[in-house]
Amino acid sequence: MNEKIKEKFFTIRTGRSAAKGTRMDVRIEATAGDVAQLAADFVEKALESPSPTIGLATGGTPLATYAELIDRHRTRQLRFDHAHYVMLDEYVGVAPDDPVSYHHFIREQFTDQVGVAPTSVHGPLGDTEHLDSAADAYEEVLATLAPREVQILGIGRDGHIGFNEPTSSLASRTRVKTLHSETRADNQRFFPAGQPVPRHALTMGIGTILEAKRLLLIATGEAKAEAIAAAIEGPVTAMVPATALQLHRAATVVIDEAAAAQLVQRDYYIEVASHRPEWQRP
Amino acid sequence: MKAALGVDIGGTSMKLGRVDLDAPADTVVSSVPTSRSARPDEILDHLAVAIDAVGAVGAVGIGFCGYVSRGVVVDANNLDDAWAGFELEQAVKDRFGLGTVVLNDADAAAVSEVPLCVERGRVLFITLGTGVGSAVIENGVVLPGLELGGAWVKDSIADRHASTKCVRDGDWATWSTRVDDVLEVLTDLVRPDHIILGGGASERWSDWGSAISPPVPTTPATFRNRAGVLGAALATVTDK
Repeated sequence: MNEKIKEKFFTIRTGRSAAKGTRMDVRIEATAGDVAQLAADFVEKALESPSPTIGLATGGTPLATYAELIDRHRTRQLRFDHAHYVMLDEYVGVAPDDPVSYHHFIREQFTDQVGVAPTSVHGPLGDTEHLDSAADAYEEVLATLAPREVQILGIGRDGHIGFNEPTSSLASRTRVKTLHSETRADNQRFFPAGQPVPRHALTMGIGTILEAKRLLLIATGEAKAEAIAAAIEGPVTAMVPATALQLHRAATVVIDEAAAAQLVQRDYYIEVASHRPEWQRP
Repeated sequence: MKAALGVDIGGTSMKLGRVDLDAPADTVVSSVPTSRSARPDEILDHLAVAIDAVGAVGAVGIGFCGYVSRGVVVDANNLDDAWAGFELEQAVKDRFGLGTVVLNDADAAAVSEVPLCVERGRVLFITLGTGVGSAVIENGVVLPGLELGGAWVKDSIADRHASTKCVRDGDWATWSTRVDDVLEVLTDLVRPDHIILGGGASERWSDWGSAISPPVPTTPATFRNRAGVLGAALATVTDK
């Protein structure tokens, strides 16, 4: 018996499982609808894990992916209730049940529609005076949960991911950030007329984001083409926070033709994707 | 890296794992069969081997399948009578010279969910296995020593009514109606905002999770049947 126990302990594998990773995986799809399909495939794959953590993004771009996943839930009974969901960010001074909060947004647009209890959805809590503690508490939630199987990301026109605006440390953790005026203007459409977008948000840091096992950046439309080209082909720089994806072992970028318009190596990415060995598929 | 040994002593097996307190989800849990007649000294011998094998740990956390008060086993329904009154916490401290925490196994499992319950209000944590264990989490604290398994449910008690021994021919969906009966009664007693279901049955969540009709939002334990080991290890930090 004792030998048996010993044997078991010696076979314990330490460290987190890691994809080998060679280069950023760029998938150029014909339309935004195709982007949503492929992105949903990655999420569905992540849901195969018995108790996964899924990282969700807010904003306009992922909505088509969520709609596709909701459709799979309704038509094929794809199950979501065994997972925990973690959000990238939340506005400071906005309570989770406020209609403009990201907590509310993600429940309304996605998790409530796929049978996920609101209490399985986690995000930083911005409606407190103790923002440092709220940031630390959120890091503790993330450390407690299994590493994210996948972290969905959108990208801002200035290259931000989460609310990590240009010049954010690439090693940053969850903390308060001041939003760029361009970001606030872009997000005004999610707020009722006359209600200003908050100036501050709590956001996962870039270091926090990079801890997910797979990063899945989604972008559609020509407004994102410049940011996408910088993120994939530009030098790694805090001026374009999304370039941090180049440091990750398993970063996938799923974009439509419009968002791919400024990529120098566009043809090469298409060639790689169309000659993908079976074992490399998501 | 801070690490603790998490131990979950049950009626049929002892589960162990070295828990990195900064990344508990990575814990690999090993299971060692124990006999129902296992006496305290036999269990301590198993522990000695495990402590030797896992390398340096700062502390030991133990979840025990019985009523535990201040580190002393008050009763152990599923194990040898020699356990009643056994000062488990002190015995482990004395033998291994490590900081030790001993708590009820359901309480230990509930500790693993505490960091995830910030937004959940009052949480009822139930373990479903051979018996039914219970704990309540509120304001970041596990309220210890609840024995809701003794609650009266359908001419029986929760502990027996929803025992996984009642699963016939692998039919978890039929068994799950018993879980509904238990959740209804316990919800009336505790008035939780959220219910978490752990224990051995949570490993089979995909077989019955969609069949239950819980009165409040209900999720499977994040760490399934590993929750007891993880929570026991985490309790070495939170309880001290």
